[in-house]
Amino acid sequence: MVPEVNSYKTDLWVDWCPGCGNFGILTAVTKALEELKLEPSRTVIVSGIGCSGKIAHFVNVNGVHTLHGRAIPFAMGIKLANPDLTVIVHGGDGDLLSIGGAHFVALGRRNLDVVVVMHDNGVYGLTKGQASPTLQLGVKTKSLAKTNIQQPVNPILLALASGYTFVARGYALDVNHLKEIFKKAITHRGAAFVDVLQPCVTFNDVLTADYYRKRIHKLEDEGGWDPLVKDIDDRRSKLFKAIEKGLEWDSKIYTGIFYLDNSVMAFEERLSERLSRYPLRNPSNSKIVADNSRPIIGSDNFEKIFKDFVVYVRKGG
Amino acid sequence: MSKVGCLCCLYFKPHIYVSSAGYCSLKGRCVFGDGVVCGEYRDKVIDDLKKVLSDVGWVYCVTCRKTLVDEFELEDHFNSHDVVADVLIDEAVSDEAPSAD
Amino acid sequence: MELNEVSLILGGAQGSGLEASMLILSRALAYGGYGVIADREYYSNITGRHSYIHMNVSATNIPRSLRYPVNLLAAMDSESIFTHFNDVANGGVIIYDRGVDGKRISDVPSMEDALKLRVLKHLQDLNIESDVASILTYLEKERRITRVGVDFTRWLRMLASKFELQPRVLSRYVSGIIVVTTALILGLDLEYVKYGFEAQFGNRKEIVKENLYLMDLIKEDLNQYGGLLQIKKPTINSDKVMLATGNDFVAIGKIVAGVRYQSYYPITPAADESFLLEKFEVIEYDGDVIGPIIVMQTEDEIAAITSAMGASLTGSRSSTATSGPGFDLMVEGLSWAGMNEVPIVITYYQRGGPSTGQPTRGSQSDLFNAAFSAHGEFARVVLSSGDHLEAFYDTVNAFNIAERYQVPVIHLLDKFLANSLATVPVPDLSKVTIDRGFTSNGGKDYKRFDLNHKISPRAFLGTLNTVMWYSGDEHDEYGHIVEDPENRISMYSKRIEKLQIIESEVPEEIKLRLYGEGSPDYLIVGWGSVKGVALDALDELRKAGYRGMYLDMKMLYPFPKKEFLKVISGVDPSRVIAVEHSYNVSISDLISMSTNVKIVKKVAKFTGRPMVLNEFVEAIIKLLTSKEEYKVLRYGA
Ligand SMILES: Cc1ncc(C[n+]2csc(CCOP(=O)(O)OP(=O)(O)O)c2C)c(N)n1
Ligand code: SF4
Ligand SMILES: [Zn+2]
Repeated sequence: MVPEVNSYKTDLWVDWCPGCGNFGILTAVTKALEELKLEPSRTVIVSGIGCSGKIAHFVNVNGVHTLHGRAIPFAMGIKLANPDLTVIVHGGDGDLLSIGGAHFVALGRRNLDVVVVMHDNGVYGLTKGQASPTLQLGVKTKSLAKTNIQQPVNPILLALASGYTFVARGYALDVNHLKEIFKKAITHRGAAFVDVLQPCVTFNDVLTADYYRKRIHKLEDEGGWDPLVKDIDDRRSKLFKAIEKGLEWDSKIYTGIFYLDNSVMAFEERLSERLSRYPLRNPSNSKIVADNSRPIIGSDNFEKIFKDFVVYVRKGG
Repeated sequence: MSKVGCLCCLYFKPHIYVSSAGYCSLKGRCVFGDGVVCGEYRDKVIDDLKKVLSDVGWVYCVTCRKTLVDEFELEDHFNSHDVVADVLIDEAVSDEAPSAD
Repeated sequence: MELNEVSLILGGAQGSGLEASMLILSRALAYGGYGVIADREYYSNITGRHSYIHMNVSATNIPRSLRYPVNLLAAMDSESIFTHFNDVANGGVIIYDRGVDGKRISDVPSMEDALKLRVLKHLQDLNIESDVASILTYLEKERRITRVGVDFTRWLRMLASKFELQPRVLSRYVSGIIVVTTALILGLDLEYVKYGFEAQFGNRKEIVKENLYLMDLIKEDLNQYGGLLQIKKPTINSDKVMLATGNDFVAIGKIVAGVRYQSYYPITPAADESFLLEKFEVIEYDGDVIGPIIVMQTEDEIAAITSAMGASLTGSRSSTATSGPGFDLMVEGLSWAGMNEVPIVITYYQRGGPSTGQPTRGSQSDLFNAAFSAHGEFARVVLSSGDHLEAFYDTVNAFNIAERYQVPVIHLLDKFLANSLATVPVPDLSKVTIDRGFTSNGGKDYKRFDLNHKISPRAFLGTLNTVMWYSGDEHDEYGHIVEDPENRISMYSKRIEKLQIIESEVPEEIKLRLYGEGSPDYLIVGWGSVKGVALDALDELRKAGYRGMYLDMKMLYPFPKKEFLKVISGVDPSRVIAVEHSYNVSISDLISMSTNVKIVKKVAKFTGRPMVLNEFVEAIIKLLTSKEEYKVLRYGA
């Protein structure tokens, strides 16, 4: 159905710093939604806490602005209970990989049909520039008193190891390219991860737009790049290739789709093997109350359903 | 060994809780360990258990209800305790195990 | 003399078949028309440590509490004798395996040193040796306790000569021996036991058959002991009962309430509830299905509560279940539920803390955690249940309250109730209703937090032509972040003033219940699983000439001040006694901060074992007849 709302942006004033990469992400995501003609009422943006988390309010679809690190499990509950919804998670690199790391991994293992967009700025923006889990070792960004002495985690490799079946990277200020990645991520069936390199003009004076401009290469510009896993036997080699590209950083930083595997069952399908009629019949649309405010389990069927717990006392005696 | 009977026989695998009963790996069935032994009885010597220790990684002291994982331990227990090569875990263990901690 | 009531202990190593023994015996008794309650005491251990079942069986009513001393001890091993011999009443019976006669305390590696030393000291005082035979001889001579020494091995061997036995299921026969011997001594019709075997091993015909053969052997061998502790013919008038644990009743309550999403991270004593729900994920009924219920084992409790909230936003009835450590992790989520007015039910089974504490033992020490944890001010409801049947109804109430007032509801239970097995009347479904609260069909200008209502009608995520926002930040009517002070006042007050609506609207019987005789000369105040022992104590104390009442505080937050004050007004404050499985007896603090009424007399128990009738009655009498204000109970191994 074509949405009535023309614009996928709300009319709120967007309060990110001037020049922040988040503006690019916002535009890319709203354009993607628009081009996919996703109905706002059937779409949910679930966000964490941080500068990035505010995005839920700026997009004119359902928005659930959650807790620091917890957008993924909120999204899981929404998606499982109402599998008809398109569910997109937005979170920062601190949110998703530090405080929310366990959920990030768990989502990959489940391959639930949710998109995770990581606003990767290398810093904790909203708490004023501390090092995030993607900041390189030995780097000193503007508001760090000393250089960073923790190693970064590689989001692409972590996503691959966790089991995401769509793994990509985009650049916040290459909006059209990013939008195309988003569209593919949204239409992918399974857990999709998009690492978005996002300059933070205020706190990250190392990973700047200039830094990225010099290094970014699109995977699709490499001759013969094909991330799609053809069949199970192809999986290993595609994974190795994705890892190889994912490891590059210092001189070349790749954007584009690293890995795409349609051969893994999405979590909803795994569930439907256990729950007959799922996802058609699901928690959000299944009946729980009979007409007269009575539960659908009543005096007539209670004992039959819970027969294992009922003892009929012997007669006579 | 403190007792005679199947418990001293190499082929016997006592039940985790009813240690007088168990499984005879030679006969392939349930047997009872106290009292008389059969004609196939094979006295278990420490070298048998050492072999099990090196092949499987552990043996079990019924007296102490303890898993032994090295030779020194085995030597400590062997002379005065009932040490066996294997224990038979009852299905009730996994069935009834409470969740804990 | 025939007994109205029999107390017994079944003891043995954890994992050695005790559970099965308890279930077979309880099923047999329930089938025979007896009332049963069985408390399970176990270590935080998979197998090997000492476990026991403490049961009370009644011919005249559904038992509500446990008793010491017990009439019968069925010991599957020597550790059970060393641990419990002192709990057996004069004239009682001990069933044991003759094979352990020569065992000494020092031969039992699994016993904790502290207990060993205590028992050794006791034996020394009595001037007896520390082996099983000496103890039993002493008990026989000095305390008229009959020892029924049975030869497990002999019977097993006879069984083996007739059937091809699987050694991996030997415990099934040991359970059989324990149950049949116990039944003989109680003088039960062995038909009941047959029913018990069939119900327990229903689909495993050969195990039933073998046990029935064993039953005949035992009957013949132990003929002389038949009816040694003869229990009366039952006079409880009911043609059917439920036999289930507190965990089971909560799960069944959730299914009836229409839960559609339950999340959990495994933890004692909560996990059993989710296992049961999983079995009922889809209920095929009448050519249709009820459900589905999605039961998600999440990566942690944070994901458990947050995913349940996500599901709730789509309109599914959602809940999670945990105990103290897990609840602690959920608390930030709880605060989000408060801020976003999300209906969600958290079933909180208390166990012994702090930290990992005594994870498999009972406790009521988390009242304040349930009522006051989480930052910020918001409305929540804390409900407790006094027994199994209440737990069922309260589970449904919890969902109704959560949805009607759009608040998180914490259903606060404990290990005693969760893990004990009991015969319970079949719930009356005609009393159960479903209230989904104020809902909306949304629409173009839908405002999720519409200030025109004290409780804004809820549209669900996914409602056509409707978009909405939620935020943990302070928000406007649409759910967008705003920090405006005037809006803050409106939203803040709206969220918190729901407490007054709840206080005034929730029916009295959900808030508190009063038992006993009018114009009492003392009043016991408690909540949750102490109800059973308190009610039995009223009866006992009546025999001793005291007229008492028990006030069961069911809704702990918001505290029902008005109703409480009405009850307390006629009672002399020095005759009010608060009871709780904790050190602090926090209910008295909750009462004093809510109503200014100070309760100074308290009965506390924090060993992790449940209060039993005898010690409870003694403590009450002591508090009523002396200047003492605080009694600590300590009975039970
Ligand atoms: C916050 C919290 N949640 C749940 C538990 C319950 N719990 C105790 S041990 C355990 C899991 C044990 O598994 P693992 O870590 O693999 O250890 P294993 O027993 O296999 O060695 C859980 C869930 C807990 N103690 N604390
Ligand atoms: S890991 Fe735990 S359950 Fe498994 S064998 Fe060891 S002690 Fe037993
Ligand atoms: Zn030993």
